[in-house]
Amino acid sequence: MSSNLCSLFISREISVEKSVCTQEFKEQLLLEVSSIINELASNSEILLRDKDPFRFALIFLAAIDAGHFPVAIPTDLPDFQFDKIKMSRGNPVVLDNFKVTGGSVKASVTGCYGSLTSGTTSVPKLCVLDAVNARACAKAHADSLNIASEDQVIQSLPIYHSFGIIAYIFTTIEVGNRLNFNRAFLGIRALQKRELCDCILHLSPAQLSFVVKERSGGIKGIKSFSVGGGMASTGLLEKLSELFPATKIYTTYGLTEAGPRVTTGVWKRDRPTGYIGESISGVTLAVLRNGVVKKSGEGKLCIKTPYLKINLGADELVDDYLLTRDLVCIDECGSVNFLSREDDLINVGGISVYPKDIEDVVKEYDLITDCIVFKKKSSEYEEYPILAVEGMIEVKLLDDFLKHKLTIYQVPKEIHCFEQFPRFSLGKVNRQDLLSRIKHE
Amino acid sequence: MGSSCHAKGVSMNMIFEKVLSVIEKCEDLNPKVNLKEIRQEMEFKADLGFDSLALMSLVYELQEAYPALDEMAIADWSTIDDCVKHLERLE
Repeated sequence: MSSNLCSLFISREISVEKSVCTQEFKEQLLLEVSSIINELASNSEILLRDKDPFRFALIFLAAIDAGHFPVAIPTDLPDFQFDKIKMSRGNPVVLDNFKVTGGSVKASVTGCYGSLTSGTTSVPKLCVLDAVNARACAKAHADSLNIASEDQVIQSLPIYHSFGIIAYIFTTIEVGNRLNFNRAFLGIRALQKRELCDCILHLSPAQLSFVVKERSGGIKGIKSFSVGGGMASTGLLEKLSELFPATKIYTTYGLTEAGPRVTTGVWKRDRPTGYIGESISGVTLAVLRNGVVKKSGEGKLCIKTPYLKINLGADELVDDYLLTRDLVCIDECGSVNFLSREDDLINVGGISVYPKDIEDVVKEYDLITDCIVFKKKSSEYEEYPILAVEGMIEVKLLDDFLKHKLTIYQVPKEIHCFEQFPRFSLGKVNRQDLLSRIKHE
Repeated sequence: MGSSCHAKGVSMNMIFEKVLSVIEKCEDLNPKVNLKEIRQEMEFKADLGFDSLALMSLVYELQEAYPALDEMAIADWSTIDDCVKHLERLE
């Protein structure tokens, strides 16, 4: 079995929580992993799930090295969805927390891995990604974040999502940085107990909100934050920069189907709302507007990238660009601003209303930790915005607040309060579940 | 033996009550069920709706009474019982 990826990976400095792993420990774990991998039929498709992130990473890489096709499965995927995936894949072998079960399916590809799309769709879809492309994507992503070999990347997001695989596993292979595995997210207060030096912390918007609420600034040793996996409000980014004035903050955007990393940008106070940076190396962006692909302006984001998933459908491409459902604005310099998900754009009597514009204002209101604007059909206006807020507030007071800050088309016609939004593992809101709760109110 | 088992049971119950009290007071923790309905065998995620961030908030609050409590403990907590047993070991 070729041990290229594994050997490279364990040659890097790896720590698990507070302890640096010795080379002997890493090699012993690799031996245990190899013994399991070697017992599988050649070129097997493997559904891989493991609560131990280091072990997950090693099995994942060893599987690719051995010509298998590992499919990364979230540890919190509901059983019924896991069973659906198993059935849809023809009952392949399952490696679940280091136990082998299931049947056997011959992989149709080698040097690849499978990643499920996350969060915003009710049914996860499988993306087949090439490991060589993944390494290149990781390098481009790391370069855009100025990650150097002397830095330590702290794993704070799940290792099994497409972001985690690139940002932690393949980045460490390509850049040679130190990698710190953690089985749980650590807030700043927890990290303060460690001796940090040149650390990189990737955060989801929910984690950003948590970190800002901790109000524990002044911690030394964090070189940069990057925030992605959803839109972070300008207010939260501003608060983060106040807590960590000497630390660089990046905003990033990605899509599992695209490899997954697409853009990175240095966040500054004068950035417009929704700024997600510029394309990383190798990626070209455009927008689709009125059926025409254009280099700049507003429209549906189109991505041309060498890191693209292999299992593309013909309907996913336009002029060789991967067509997304995200509405963006690309300026003449190539800076990208996220406007809205296409499905979310609200047509209020012919006026286009972007939910994000409303959400940004709502988030200025005290006691609201999160909010989402949906659209509702109307015979009078065609559509109008309705608002879900996380936080128990006086609806009338919020309504008065919004009427002073939004145009008449933007003011939500309904406000629904929830103590807590239903969420997925990365902290992304389960919009379908939330919408269904609103309908049942 | 009987009295030490009894003492242990009383201690676990007190710790459970302490955990409930923290959940009630912490505004970042909003369980899906009423406080009175929470039982020790309930799962944080499935029954209370606590994600990893909520658990971290819980740990921060519990650290007031248990300074030796390590944040990484939440990786091993599926149920409230896991949490209670962990705290009992710290006591």
